[in-house]
Amino acid sequence: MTIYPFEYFEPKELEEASSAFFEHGSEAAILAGGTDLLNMLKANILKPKVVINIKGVPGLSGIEEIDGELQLGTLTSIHDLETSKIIQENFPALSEAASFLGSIQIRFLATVGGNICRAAPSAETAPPLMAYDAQVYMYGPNGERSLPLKEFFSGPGQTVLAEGEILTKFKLPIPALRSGSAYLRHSIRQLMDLAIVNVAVSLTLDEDSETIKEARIVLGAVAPTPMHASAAEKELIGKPATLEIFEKAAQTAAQESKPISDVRSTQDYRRAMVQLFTRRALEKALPRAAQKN
Amino acid sequence: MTTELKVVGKSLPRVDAYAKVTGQAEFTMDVNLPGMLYGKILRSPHPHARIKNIDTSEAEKLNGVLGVITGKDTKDMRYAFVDTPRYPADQYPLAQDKVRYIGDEVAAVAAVNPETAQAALDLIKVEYEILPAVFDPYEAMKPDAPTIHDAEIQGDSIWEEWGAEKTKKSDANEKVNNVSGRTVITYGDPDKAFAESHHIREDRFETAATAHCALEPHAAVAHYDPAGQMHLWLSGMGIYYKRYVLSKVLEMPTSQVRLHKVYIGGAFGGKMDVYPYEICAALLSKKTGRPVKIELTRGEVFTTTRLRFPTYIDIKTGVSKDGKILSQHIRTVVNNGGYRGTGPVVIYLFHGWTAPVYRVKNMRYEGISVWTNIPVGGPQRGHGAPQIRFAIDSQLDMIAEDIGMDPAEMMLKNVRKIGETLPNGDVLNSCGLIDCVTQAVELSDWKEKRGAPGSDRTERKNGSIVRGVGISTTTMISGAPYYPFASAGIVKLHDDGAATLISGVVEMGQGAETTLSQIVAEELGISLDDVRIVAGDTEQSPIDMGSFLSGGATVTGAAIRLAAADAKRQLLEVASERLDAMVEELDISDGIVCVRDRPDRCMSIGDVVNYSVKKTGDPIIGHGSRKILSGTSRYPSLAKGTGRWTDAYGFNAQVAEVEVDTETGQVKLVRATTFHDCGTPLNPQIVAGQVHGCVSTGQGQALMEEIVYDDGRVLNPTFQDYRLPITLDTPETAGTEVESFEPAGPFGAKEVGEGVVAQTLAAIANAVYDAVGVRITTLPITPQKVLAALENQKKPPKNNK
Amino acid sequence: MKLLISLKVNGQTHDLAIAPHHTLLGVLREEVGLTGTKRGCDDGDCGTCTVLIDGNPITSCMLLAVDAQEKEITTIEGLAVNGQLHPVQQAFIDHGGLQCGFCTPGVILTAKYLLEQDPAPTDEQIRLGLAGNLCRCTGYVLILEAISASRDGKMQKAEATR
Ligand SMILES: Cc1cc2nc3c(=O)[nH]c(=O)nc-3n(C[C@H](O)[C@H](O)[C@H](O)COP(=O)(O)OP(=O)(O)OC[C@H]3O[C@@H](n4cnc5c(N)ncnc54)[C@H](O)[C@@H]3O)c2cc1C
Repeated sequence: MTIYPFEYFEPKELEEASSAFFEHGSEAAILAGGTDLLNMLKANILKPKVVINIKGVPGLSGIEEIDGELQLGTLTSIHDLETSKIIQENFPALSEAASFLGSIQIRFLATVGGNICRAAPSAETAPPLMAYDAQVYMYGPNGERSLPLKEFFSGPGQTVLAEGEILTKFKLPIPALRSGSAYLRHSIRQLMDLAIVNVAVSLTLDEDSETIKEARIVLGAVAPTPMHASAAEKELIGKPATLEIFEKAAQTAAQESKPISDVRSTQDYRRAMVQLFTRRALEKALPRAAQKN
Repeated sequence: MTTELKVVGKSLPRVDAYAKVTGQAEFTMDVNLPGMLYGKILRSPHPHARIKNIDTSEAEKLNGVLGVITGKDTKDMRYAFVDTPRYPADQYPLAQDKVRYIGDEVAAVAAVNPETAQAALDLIKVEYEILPAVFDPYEAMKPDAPTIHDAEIQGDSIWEEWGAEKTKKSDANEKVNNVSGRTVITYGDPDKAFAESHHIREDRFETAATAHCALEPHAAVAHYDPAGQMHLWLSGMGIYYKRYVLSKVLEMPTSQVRLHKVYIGGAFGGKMDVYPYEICAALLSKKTGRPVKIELTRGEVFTTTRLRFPTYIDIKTGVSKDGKILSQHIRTVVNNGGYRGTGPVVIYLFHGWTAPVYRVKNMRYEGISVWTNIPVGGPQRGHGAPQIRFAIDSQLDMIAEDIGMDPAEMMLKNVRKIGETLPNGDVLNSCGLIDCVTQAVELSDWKEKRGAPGSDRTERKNGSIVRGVGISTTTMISGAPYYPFASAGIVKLHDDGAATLISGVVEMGQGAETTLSQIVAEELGISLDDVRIVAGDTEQSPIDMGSFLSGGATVTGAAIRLAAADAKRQLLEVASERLDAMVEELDISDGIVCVRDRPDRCMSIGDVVNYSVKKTGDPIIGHGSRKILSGTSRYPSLAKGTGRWTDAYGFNAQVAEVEVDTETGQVKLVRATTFHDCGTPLNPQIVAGQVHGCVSTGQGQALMEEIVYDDGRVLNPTFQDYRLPITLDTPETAGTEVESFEPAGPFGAKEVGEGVVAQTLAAIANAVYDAVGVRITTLPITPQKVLAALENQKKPPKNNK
Repeated sequence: MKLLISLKVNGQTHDLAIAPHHTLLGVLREEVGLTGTKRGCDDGDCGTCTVLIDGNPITSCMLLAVDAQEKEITTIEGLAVNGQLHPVQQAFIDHGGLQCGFCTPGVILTAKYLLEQDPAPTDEQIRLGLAGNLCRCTGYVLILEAISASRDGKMQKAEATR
């Protein structure tokens, strides 16, 4: 509960931030909203010598639609995700996920980039961002690079960020016509809790408004990293969107998931909940897809 | 009773409200003194280990560290909450030879700031020899289990000077490994009554360790004045109790230990005991000559400030054909943790919470508390009542089903009535149990919602959601004998007609400062605005029993009413001379003393006081006192359950309505209908607040709350992983007080605020069963358990009858 | 190493020398001397340390003090004006929405934000908004009542006449 003293640095440019981060390597920590970092510092899980606050770096926040894509700055607050009109209309699973994160007090501080860089298996925004095929952009000593978000996580609390690299933004293609999506989270308390299971799904229907053309099912808290239920996704494609098909895909998703037992839940229960909440999420997404004509 | 009350019984705003809504109310952590140091405690990382060596030299060398203490500095300081000849104290402020749970106190430091104190802890080297540990009480009782307290602890008990008698070594109980306390109570002829029973059931119930979760973390500020006084600001529940124990431990005269007033940010039992960090703050202040503050972290609060005892309960009950309980055999085992805490008390209390509710003439009760290497158990709102009421009323629900009876009806067949005498001699001079049950049944639409016993439930289903209702009852004492065995109050009058109440009561949210002030205002015939209060300071206030054992309203309230009455008597004597009338002819109303029916012959209270001072110099000061237990000076026996215990019991009944999601197993409390008998409610809004708080805690402990251990380590010492209810869990609440008057209490008042928590557990468990036909007998009722039970449930027994 | 920072708390500017690892909570309590903001868990979980930053509630234990510069910080001590309580404070007194008082400052500040955001929040919105403010005493019932009593523009009206 006592934070060890550190040096504090407020870069004004991305480049400056990245080179400072590179210079201090593992002795440095990036500070965004701080809602994860401060807890790690207080628990002495991290004892950085230098803390680099990137909030003064221009261009790292904001929600914008550019060329059929949504651009989301890393510093965008979870509160902004929750309340943004563009996101509510086009990416409802993302704003729904945001509304589950922490409390109002936390959502004003926490950032989307921080949620992703923390890489908790239960991270609220990871399943929806993955379900929307988000591309993540990083800036480091070797300049900018980008990856599909699903390739970003490498383990619980671990990412592919290289030394000196800073996450800068996400880009999400605006969903096609007849697309619908949803996010559900199961936890003991409705809020102020971490997910036992969280699920984001997105469906795109064919012109017949019945056949499933594209499907994404992303599961959180049931594997070392948020994961696509790929087999279940495949099962849906080309099929008519019926409750039976959803139930079957949900079963497959449960089989694919790799939950563990911990202080929050048991393996068996988590697996059962993957099935239930996948089905419920698909059922919730379908009418949204049918509406978006 | 006949005169109309003007202040008592009214929902007046709390007297501490202004300070609290503006952030001015001072809690222990808000106390900052010049030159103050910050203390921290080094704790054991092992559940059971022998300390071979402690090296503090590096820590002492660190710049900014002013004091380091270890077990060497606390060698002669054996103490504990339970310290009787039979159960001598088993704890030291800092570990001597061994540590007995993860979190046990090993050393303490004081430094110029918290960071330095933390760094100093990191520099203390402790060499441990790790010993085998045991976490389960049944395992711990086995002969080959590691022994946690090696030698029988010898020495005098601090209670002997207060009349506790040394027991002879001829204690009939055989010595069992790690057993820290034992209670055996029998009356009637249980075997014979079982033989005569129409139906007998035996069931086992288990409850989890739960945490108090007062929002204010425990803190202490100590300032040793070289002139000889120890000044303390502590997160406590009773200033006189803490002062007494601290003075013994610190070997100081009691009056040289001064507890100053602070507000307490919730306690719920968790701030009653004297804790090592408090003693360490005092010792470090003495050592460094500077004030020392120790604030526990939330994690420390979760692991080292006592938990509700995890309890195993076996009950065998025999009933007659018409649902009367004929015989009961109850066995309880509590996991005591590394020290006794209140283990030997809680096993006595379990029986205490059954006897006043249902009339059971034939009883065999056996309780055992067992040392293990988990964190220590202690009092928590209801102190044992939640566990035992959960078991008893869950089983009653099961028996009612077995014999085809409505459980509410079965309760009514068994609940006690006003005037009954309990097996220990306590008399129920007020008892509204029947009204509590019948009114809760009525207001909750019980009959409609529950349906006839055995009726079909399928029509209640809405998607995956099913509703159900359950009922439970409970009781609570109104004060029981404990140091300082009495409360007293002083009421002094001012020449502007106002009064100051001086009381040792501790305001921790229960509203004592308000309700006690209301008593003074009512008795004196003035408005609440004209009562000032000085409370919670041992130097200024007379003794007080403390805000535990639920005696605040009844005992302290009675003392304070007597003090106000004493002031009033003196006032009227002076006024009678001045107004030239007999005392009996005088009335006080709205601060004016008048000769009855003579509005022309009046004077204000202020003028009477003024006159009195001018005439004789007497400013008019009243005082009053009340012993905790009237008519006896013996203590009840913890081991045998004999002896009177309290002057009045509060009672409650509750109907809980839940929704169960049959796909997730999740249970939601949607409505709690609670009726309680607290005698006269001194302030109905404050009473309601107490009841709501209890329902919420009961709901949490029924459904979500559980300290999870792994080899003695608490895995969830945060508010994120230990889930108390949040706003979104708040059920609809209904119900109120039943008509009742307790002769022992001021204006007929008695306990409210502890008992209600206990019945919510069984009410919810029974409602879950009513909804979906699964019986969860281990708390909490998690979604996992419900779902697993639903899957195991081949045919719902309910619909099958 | 200490930094010179400047915090604007309840309309007053405080120039302070602090270490960068100090949280806003710690600095408010220990340096500025405003102890109405409480340290209930230091983990962001309980809401007792809630303050308003530019009108928005945040847990001050989760924000470094250096990071709170150039913003309007409002603590519980800043609500009453010339001894006149803010209408939300008064509502909590009138409806008995407090007991031990430890969570009260955070609860009142969050409630003020919610009612400013939307003068007529639904029951559900109030409950969602206060989910991050734990209270063990009240079971929330009278807290929610106090806030409901201030909605439909009542807080704003009372404020106008303060
Ligand atoms: C009370 C409470 C409740 C919470 N509830 C939830 C919840 O329900 N669901 C949930 O998912 N999370 C929850 N969290 C966790 C946390 O709030 C979120 O993960 C949040 O989004 C983190 O964002 P941040 O900006 O605060 O991150 P920070 O703490 O600033 O950073 C998190 C980590 O990412 C690194 N980092 C941040 N930004 C970058 C970047 N641009 N480039 C490289 N590295 C970076 C930091 O160095 C740090 O290691 C909760 C936290 C608290 C305190």
